[in-house]
Amino acid sequence: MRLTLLDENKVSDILLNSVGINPNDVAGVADLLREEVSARCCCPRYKAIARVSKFIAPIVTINAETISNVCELLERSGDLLLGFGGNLFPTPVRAITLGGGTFRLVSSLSTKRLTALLVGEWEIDGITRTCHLESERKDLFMEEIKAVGGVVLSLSTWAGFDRTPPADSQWLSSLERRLQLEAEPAGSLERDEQLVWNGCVAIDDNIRWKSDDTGKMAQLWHTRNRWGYWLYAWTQGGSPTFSPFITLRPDEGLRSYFAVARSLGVPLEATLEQQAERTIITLDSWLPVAEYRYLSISASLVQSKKKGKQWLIPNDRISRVLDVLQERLGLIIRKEADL
Amino acid sequence: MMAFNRPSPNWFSIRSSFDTIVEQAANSRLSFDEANILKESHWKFGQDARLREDVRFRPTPWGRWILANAFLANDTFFIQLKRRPRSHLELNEALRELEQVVKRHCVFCPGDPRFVVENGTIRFSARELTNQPLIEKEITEIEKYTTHLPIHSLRAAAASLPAMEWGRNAQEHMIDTLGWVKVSLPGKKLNSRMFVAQIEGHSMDDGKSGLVDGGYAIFEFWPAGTKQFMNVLVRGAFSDPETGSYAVKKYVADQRDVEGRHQRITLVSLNLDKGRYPDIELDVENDEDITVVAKVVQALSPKDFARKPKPIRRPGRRDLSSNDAVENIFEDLALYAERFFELPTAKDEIGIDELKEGWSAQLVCLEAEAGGLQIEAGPFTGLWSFVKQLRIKSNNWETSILASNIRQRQIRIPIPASAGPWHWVAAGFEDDPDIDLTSLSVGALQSDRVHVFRLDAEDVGRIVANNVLSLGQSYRILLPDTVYDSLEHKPATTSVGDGWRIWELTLSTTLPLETQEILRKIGLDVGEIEPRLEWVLVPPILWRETAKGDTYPCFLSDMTPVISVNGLNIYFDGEASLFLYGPSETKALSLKSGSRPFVQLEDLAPGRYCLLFLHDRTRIPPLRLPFEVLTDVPYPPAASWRLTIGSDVLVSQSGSLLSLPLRDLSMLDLAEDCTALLEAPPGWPVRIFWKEISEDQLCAIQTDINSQVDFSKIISVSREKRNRRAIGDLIIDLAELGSAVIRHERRPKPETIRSNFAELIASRGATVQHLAGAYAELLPIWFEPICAVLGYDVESVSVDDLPSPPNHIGVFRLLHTERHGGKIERQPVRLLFLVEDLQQGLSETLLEWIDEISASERLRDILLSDGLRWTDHRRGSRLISPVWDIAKVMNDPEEFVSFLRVASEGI
Repeated sequence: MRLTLLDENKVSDILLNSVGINPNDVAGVADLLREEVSARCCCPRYKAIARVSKFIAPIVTINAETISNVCELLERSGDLLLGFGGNLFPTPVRAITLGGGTFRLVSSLSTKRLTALLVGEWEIDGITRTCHLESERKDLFMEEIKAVGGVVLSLSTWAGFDRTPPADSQWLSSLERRLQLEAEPAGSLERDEQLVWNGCVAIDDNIRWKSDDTGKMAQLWHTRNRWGYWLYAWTQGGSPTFSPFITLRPDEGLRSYFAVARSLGVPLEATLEQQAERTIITLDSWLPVAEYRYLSISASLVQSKKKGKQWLIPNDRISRVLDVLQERLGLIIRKEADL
Repeated sequence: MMAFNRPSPNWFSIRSSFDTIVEQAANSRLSFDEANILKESHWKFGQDARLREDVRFRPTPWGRWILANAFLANDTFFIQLKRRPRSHLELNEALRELEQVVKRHCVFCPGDPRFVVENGTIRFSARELTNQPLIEKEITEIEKYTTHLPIHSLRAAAASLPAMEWGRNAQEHMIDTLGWVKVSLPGKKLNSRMFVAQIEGHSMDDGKSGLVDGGYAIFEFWPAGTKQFMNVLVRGAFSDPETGSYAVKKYVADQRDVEGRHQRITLVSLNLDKGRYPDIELDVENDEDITVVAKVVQALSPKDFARKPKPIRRPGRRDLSSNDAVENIFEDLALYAERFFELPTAKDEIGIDELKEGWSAQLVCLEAEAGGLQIEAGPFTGLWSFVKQLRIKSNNWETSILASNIRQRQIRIPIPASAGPWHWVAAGFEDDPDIDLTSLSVGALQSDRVHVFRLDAEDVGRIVANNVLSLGQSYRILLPDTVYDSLEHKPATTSVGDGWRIWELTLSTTLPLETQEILRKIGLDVGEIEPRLEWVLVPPILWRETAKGDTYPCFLSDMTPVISVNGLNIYFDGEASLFLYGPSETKALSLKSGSRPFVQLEDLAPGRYCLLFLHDRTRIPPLRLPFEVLTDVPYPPAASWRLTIGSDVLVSQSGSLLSLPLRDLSMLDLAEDCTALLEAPPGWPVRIFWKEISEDQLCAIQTDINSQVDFSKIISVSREKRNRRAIGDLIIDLAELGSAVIRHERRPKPETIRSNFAELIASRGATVQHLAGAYAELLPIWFEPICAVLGYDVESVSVDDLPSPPNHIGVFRLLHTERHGGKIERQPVRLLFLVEDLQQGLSETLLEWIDEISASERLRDILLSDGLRWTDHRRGSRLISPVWDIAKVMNDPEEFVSFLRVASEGI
């Protein structure tokens, strides 16, 4: 047992040397958040952010907004759970098979602890942790995953494809069936406020949301309520103000958007930019949850624009990813060179 | 103006008649008394001489005199005696040693009340001594058993074995002694079997024996001859309430038998309170049952032994460096750590009244985002098990808490700041005087002044009683809007509603003028600096909670936690120290001057620790940080779930859909018949769906911190579906961890249907008769509920495509839901025709029209009703079917079953 007075100049090395964290990059901040949430088991999000900021204050000042952004990435990637009431929870270890002995690890364990517990060659890129294994070490890896209470999942299980249908004509038929059975009376969503609905229609080879006459016979409708939340509805044709409808959850609404575009013959597009080892895929629309989860594991998010995102996908995975997106969302893939 | 020619004062006056006195004093080791020394030489001759007239003399603080150039040794000896482990100093020798250091003639003043001079030695007077013996670790051989005796703990002495041959050093070899104590027993000679020990317990305190708890006595090992009526130290197969298997007692034995052995020995307590200090009766079967280890030679009073000096007092200062002080600091720290980490006492040992003393409720203030003002309470260990719910009530506000939650842990409940005072009651026992929770009441906040909460290590604001803020601390100040509005410069606050605002304020060492002005306006002063201890840079691996609800961090043994001392400047080296109390050792570190020291804790063995920051100024309060070092890495939550419904258990298989066998899920409402429990990782999102033809999301919930889902919520949101629908799947979706399907199927019995009918007829029968023919009105209030009971969903048939009906008539499809393989399907199975009056019979025209419609709908079976009366028809048939009045048919069980056989599905 020793108490050592630290030289102020050496304090900055402590975090890097003892904890293996560089607070100046996203991975470092992410690990501090993971450590904080894992240690607390449950803590309010804003408090975790404040604590991390205070914790590294002796060596570096990082504003709360930056930490909050990293926290959001961790929540979206599944490393941290944001529950009701704004509480963050740690998550179990989930190893998602990417094929060829590569696994993407999702967990609230910090990178240092994760890499100490599991064999493999690690590739850390921002908040993502990827483990590459030779075939003879796979069994050991599986055992180690089991020992920490984790699971190995296929990419489709992770994404939830087994529970979510593709955005296709069958999906639209199921909406029709639901409409027959469970239609809500026209205008029933407008008891508290007047809603301005936009219908989803094809105009000039593009799918558009329209509130004027051009959209009046659309079946898929959306609007924002006064709290800023998106509401989606499906009708026989015509705005939910005047037609019986079924309410769609936001994820169902997004799925229906892709399906309608597909059925109207104006499927949504993704743009490819081929690079030496990787390909950048640009998507201008938000994806339904399952497909987002699929893409977030298969690819790395490189840029998030106001509408849509750019993803970086290794070339050995690109064809499989595109197949899935085409099959499930009916996306049309355009290469940048063709544009 | 007149000018006076005054002689300049001669400050260096010398009186030659004092020369002999100077010579005398120069040879003396002691200060002298003015009266004694001047009486014979001057005063006797009528000379008014005073030593103060001669600069060669100066007074001591105790009214005696020494030569002005002499060194007064008293303070030096005072420090020496305080620090050195001896009770006295040889005066001449000590003065000689001091002279070599200070290079001046050294003198001791015997007028100093702190000392006693005796036989050429000086020692502390009684006022400078404690009542504790001065334990010397090393003494000379000649002092052993001549002037000094070894001091043992009573337990160690009791456990000792007799040395075969008593040598002079036998005790030292046999017992790990605490040290040596100088004793003074006039008329008594010490011997090598004697030792000193501290008396434990009150059993021998009769007011005369001197054997009082905490007092000291001389014992003599292995007394020879009879011990009858002696006070002795005994050990044996007995249990003394105060000391256990050894005790100091008066030895009383019965007459020896023919073999010379005692049969019965009584260990008598001298204390007359025999209830608390009983005598110990022993039936002695063999000699080894009891061992007389030593006899009491004499109880010692403090004047009989050399006593430990009182610690050096420095007003407003702490001693952080002397051995005794450090020893005391670690003793206090050990006690603090023990209390901090202690487990709650077992329930059966403590009564509810004692447990209630540990219950408390107080106001705390969290960030505005976290709810602002809250009541913090619990755990209420021992809360009556029959109390299921507690309520907090104020004049216009009330909330409920589950008793099971607060029984286990501390909870915080957001409260409106203006609502107080807040009182606690046990729901259902409001009038029971035995269930009294008035001690938990929390007083109201005054709405015309600010309330200050100081942030603790967990960022929880604790209310501050006075109006003085400390620099270096963080505060949460609760301001009423009236006070806020009156401020000229408004601080950045967050409204928490109800007319109150929160101002988050950290007082750095340099306070902006504007902040000072605001604080002054709201009636707050800024006082001294208070430091903060913070864990930085090395994140804890876990935070744990004590039984009292305090949290503390845990580190792994290979980690090197770092502490930062904030909010305080250390101006001199050694001004403040850190003390670390660990499971096997203690360490102290004196801090160097600087503004923000960082201290790394290394080589920590597994166990519980407590770190203490102490400043040598007493007005800077001590800071303590308990923590724990673990050996095992805590794993993250397991990626698994477990669903228990009654005796059926489903255990997760990631990503897969697991099913429970078919059952009637209405049983979930009968909690006593069916336990339902879902466990998953804490905070895990769980979506609940009801699936028949399509999936309907009933709710999205999450597991709590204890990894459990509030199943009552699932039961509540699915109640209508489970009770109304005959078939359906209750799906519990745990995302990538998989899903559980609980298949529901209910086949109602005729009795159930009869009672449902009875309810409907009783409540709506009269209305049905009034509204005969008004099918649109009757459909939702009558036909749909009746058809649901009979096993159908009702669906309209579009009238636009039908040929014109001969009468006023309504047509509907009756759909029935069934499982086909793994799927649930809903198919039209009958048509329902609503007519105005079934009593008059059905015309051929109508029957033909009905047949036409049923053919177009491809259904053969038809039900007809005018409300209460029902009949059936089969396409193309002209056989007359019976007409059932359901109000009447219910009274005949057999007839009712006949009706159901024709009219219902899935019964």
